[in-house]
Amino acid sequence: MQQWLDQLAGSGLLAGLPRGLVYTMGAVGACTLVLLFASLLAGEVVWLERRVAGRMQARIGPNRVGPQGLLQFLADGLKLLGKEDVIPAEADKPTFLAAPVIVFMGAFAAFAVVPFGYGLVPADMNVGLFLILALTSIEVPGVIMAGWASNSKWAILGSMREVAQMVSYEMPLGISALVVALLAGTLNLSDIVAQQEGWIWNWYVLRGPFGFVAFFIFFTAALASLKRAPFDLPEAESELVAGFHTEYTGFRFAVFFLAEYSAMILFSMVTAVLFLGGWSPGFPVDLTGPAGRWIGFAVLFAKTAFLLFTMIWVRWSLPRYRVDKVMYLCYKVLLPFSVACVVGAALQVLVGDAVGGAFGRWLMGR
Amino acid sequence: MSEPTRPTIPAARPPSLVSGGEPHHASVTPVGGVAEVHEQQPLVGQDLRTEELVFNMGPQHPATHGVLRVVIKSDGEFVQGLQPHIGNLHRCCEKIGESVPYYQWIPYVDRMDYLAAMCNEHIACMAVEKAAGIEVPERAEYCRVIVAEVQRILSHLFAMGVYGLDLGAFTPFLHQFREREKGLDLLDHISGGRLLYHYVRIGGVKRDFTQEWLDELEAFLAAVEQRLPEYNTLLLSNHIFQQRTAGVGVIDRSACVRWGVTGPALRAAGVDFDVRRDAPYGVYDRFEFAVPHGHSGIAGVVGDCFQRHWVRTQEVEQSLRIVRQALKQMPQGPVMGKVPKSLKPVAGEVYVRGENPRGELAVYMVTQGEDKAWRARCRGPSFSNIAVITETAKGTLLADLVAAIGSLDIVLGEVDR
Amino acid sequence: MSTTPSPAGTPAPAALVDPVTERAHALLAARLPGVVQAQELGGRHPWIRVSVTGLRDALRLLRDDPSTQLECCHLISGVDWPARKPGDKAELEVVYHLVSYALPYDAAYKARRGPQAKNDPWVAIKVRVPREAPEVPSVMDLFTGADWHERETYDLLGVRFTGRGFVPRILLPEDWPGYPLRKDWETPTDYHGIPIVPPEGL
Repeated sequence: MQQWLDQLAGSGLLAGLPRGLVYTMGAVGACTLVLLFASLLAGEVVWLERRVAGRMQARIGPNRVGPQGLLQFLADGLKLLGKEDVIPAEADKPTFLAAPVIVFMGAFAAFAVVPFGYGLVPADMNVGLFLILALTSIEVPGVIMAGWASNSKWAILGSMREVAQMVSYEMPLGISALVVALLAGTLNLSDIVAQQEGWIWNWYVLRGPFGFVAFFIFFTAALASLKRAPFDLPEAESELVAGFHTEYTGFRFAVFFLAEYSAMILFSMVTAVLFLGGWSPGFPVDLTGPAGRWIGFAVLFAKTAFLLFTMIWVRWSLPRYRVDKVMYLCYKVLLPFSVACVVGAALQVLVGDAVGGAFGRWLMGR
Repeated sequence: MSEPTRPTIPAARPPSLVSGGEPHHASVTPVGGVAEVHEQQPLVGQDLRTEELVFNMGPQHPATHGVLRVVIKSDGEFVQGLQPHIGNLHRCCEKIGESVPYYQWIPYVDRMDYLAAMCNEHIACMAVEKAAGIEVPERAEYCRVIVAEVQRILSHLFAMGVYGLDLGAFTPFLHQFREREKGLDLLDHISGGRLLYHYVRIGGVKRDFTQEWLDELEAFLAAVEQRLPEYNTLLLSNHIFQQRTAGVGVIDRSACVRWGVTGPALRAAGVDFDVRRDAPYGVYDRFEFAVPHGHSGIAGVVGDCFQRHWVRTQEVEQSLRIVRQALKQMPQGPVMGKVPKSLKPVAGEVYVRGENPRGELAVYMVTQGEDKAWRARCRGPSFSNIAVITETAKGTLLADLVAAIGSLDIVLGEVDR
Repeated sequence: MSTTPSPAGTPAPAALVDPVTERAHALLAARLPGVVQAQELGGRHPWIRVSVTGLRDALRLLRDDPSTQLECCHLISGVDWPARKPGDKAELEVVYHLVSYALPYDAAYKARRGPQAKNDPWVAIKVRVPREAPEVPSVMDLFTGADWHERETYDLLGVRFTGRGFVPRILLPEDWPGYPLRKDWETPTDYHGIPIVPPEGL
């Protein structure tokens, strides 16, 4: 990204402008691009969900609006825009208006550090992984604010339950991501992907048993953090009592909806980057060139699509967990296993260091 | 001679929010769909409890059972008491039974348990036939058994699918409805209606089976038989489903018998009783079929939600058996007996009970020699089945209440009539 | 109330009394003398009428005795018998149908009975109360399920069940006047100002 900005500043068209301005314009342009891409993708994930759900349920799903129904999200968006914007009279107005923005921010901001291809990362930060975990946690106060601002006892209780689930599952999420950080020796996502280049056994999911188990823990914790089935009891119980986003109508509701789906995409991409080799296709090929990096992007996209399909598949196959079982699963199953994986990964790195050679380096994760 | 003045309903008095007391005294006014919550002062001191909340579930809620309103008193997670309020679907079926001739009343009986209409008609027609001494030809009896068992299969498919939906499994619901569509088309072709038929008439059935219909029936039975293991895999064998239903909503034998719970719920509590086998009506005594009942060999506790669901899946298999036997045994002959043009049974009474998919539907009919019944009292099985949760749901988690109510498989049409 | 012979020719076995009714009647006659006021034991709907005061004892006996074990109150119905001829009394009748899940019919009876005989092991107990003061003791503590059946009988027919506190309506709204299933019920013209137009014939 830095190189691209330098190139841009040096090119003839923008040579006259001050460097800072060019940098800012470039950054804004990149952010807009990523935002548009993420929003479009979120809309299409909604389409994918509805088609896949339809097929699994022996029916078709939306296929009228646009080719194969791909423009359905535009129709839905227009419909939601046209709805009346109702704010409850007793609601805490600033909080009410701010909550969707914060949830949206949490879901979209983390796209900045995801490496879409070689060098195709808007912000190549050395604490990329940590930043993703931190930014996705911003959703939590947003959910609390949404429930609180609705001024309904049941909205608050419902949002508290959801927040408890989200926060609890961030622990196994972070700890299993730590396994990758241990194996990779870095928190920089581009470097993590770089170390998974080459053959398929370089992928962290296949580098020893701890990466394998950590992959499943990470994915499950991500599902729970996203409040997707089978962990969506707080949302379903909100059929009985009001959930946190009941009082939101029209476009504000669409923002929550969009945030949920883009968080899905984010977690799928991060899982692919951490465990499934990112933009490397599983056999040694040079994807660092200006054309190659876009092929790498397509590879990452394919992996993300597969993981999204899995999320959708799981949602429409399984019944819901009860809330106490959800917590049991987090604290008594996923957390101990993820801690064990971290310890195991650390041992694996030490063993790899001691063994040395190519195999040793493979064990170490480098 | 002055006209007797008709009573007028007095002006409504404002509903009162009762402080504490029994939930069924509390009139909790729904405000914008969410109940106004009435709180008690939290107790401070040694026994620091969370507040007790009285809130409303229904009468409209996404769990599809119908217009049932349950007022729940809970302290946060645990249900301390609940009171179902029924009567939202009361359509005066019994009063109509006293006001119109018998043959006109039969279609109203369909609408009581609208998911088991053929079975309802069967029982009601049996009551009238017994009262009037009308004999039903043998072929008609077999036709009745076949459509009743097909209806049982359809009703259980619905119940199992919707139960999955209550628990969050969206897909088995649609798969089972795919088979249900075939069955509804089947019953449509023989009677003209998909859900409410007026096919079983006093004295027999309306129309005989054609060979085409029998072929369609075979195809339907084969389709259900093929798909049944799939449904069991999706729900019964699913670990999450078992966690949600095993040991949940236990209604033991004593509670069942005291409350008058019948049908799959009674059998899941371990009672080996089926009206079709133990007090057979029609030609049910000519078939061989098993009566599944709850026992400790399968997952869960005897009388819990899982076993109720399991009993239903087994009953579908047994119904397939019965239909196949009936098809083999069916004789040729007329399908409608001799029914007098104006049906005026001699003064008398009759009590008929039959095994509906939801339990034992009973009709107590008092005749007085007129063309209308003097009293047509219907017992809907769901009436007693839903009453039992007043006792058994105390102390359960709020999340388990939905599972418990769903597993009882109630239809508000026969609760309220 | 007599039974009708079926047109097919086989007379209804009026003399054939099913064992459940027989045992129930014998039990009541032996252990609660004077409680049974009338009975009809044969035919397709045998019944035993008991006195209002003896109702609870009779039902408790039938429930607890091991020879009958009629532990389930299957149905409670109310029937309106207004005075149609000058000499008649205007009465309300409450019919209790009790069922046993522990003692179904034995094979011997199943072999003997004919097509029009009673095929089903239940017992019908009746009480009659005057229409002006229709008070029947509640059996809610004997059969918990009787609670809702009694509420419905009160709701639709106005039979007052004593000994159980406040009896709320169950099917109709709390402020509904009158008892619709009575024979002299007239549909009101409006409900809270909303006009009700009854259809022809009802």
